[in-house]
Amino acid sequence: MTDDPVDLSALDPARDSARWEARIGAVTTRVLAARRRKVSVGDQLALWARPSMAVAASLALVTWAGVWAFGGLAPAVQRSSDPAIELARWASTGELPATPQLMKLLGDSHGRD
Amino acid sequence: MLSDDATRAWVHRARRGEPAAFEALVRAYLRPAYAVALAIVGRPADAEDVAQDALVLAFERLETCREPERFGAWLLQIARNQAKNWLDRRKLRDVPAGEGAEEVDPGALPDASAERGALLRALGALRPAEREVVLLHDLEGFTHGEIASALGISEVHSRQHLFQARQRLRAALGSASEGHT
Repeated sequence: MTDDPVDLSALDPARDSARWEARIGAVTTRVLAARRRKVSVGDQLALWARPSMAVAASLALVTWAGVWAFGGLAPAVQRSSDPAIELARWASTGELPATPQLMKLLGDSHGRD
Repeated sequence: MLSDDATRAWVHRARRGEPAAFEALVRAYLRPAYAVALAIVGRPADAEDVAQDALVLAFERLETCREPERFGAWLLQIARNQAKNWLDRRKLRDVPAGEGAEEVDPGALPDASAERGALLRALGALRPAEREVVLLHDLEGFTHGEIASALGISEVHSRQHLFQARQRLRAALGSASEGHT
């Protein structure tokens, strides 16, 4: 019968299994090294973006929890955000501030810097 | 060989840089790449080097593999090209330009066993397409469908090449063993 498989096992590279496993390990190592070299700065940033966002979100959560637990922002923080809050209030309500109010706000802010 | 779905999943994971995915794909496709390379370069040690280079190159270009489920066929095409380039370089290095085309150099390894040497000599007498088909089928266990997909030929051609290859191999191996007795 001529249609039976030909025994080519003498050419099987995996006959020496330990050697073949070592070869697979070597190829994988080479592939990974080549891949690492190829990764650009942009790719690295992209890789780090997700964990960085997670860390930032965690810090924000901890900060918010701290503020909530200790009953609001510290006075210094409140003071420093006063002009911003005031401006935001004017912007959101459409209220036109009086000139003295505006001068006081700018003066306060300027004086603080 | 991995299924199409498994291959696609591993390729996606490799694109994300997962080391386990690289190892899974290397484990699954290093041997087929070796078989294709051996069909062209004719020396097992050289074929292993070519297969290794083909895999490294394939992973460097992994983003250009348009059909991840056909990673195997795509890789084997890279392995063929690498093997042909390697053969061209060897011809320039080893023999005067213009001699022979795609002939193999069986038994070149000094430590080759008699059986291995006889097989390599017999394979060297086959046409390149026959060598690829018989190595993928009888050494790697590919089906004709897988061979057709990997080599870009029809299943009918794959069967014809295999039939011819087996006949020629048996004839060559038979005469070799008669010559030794």
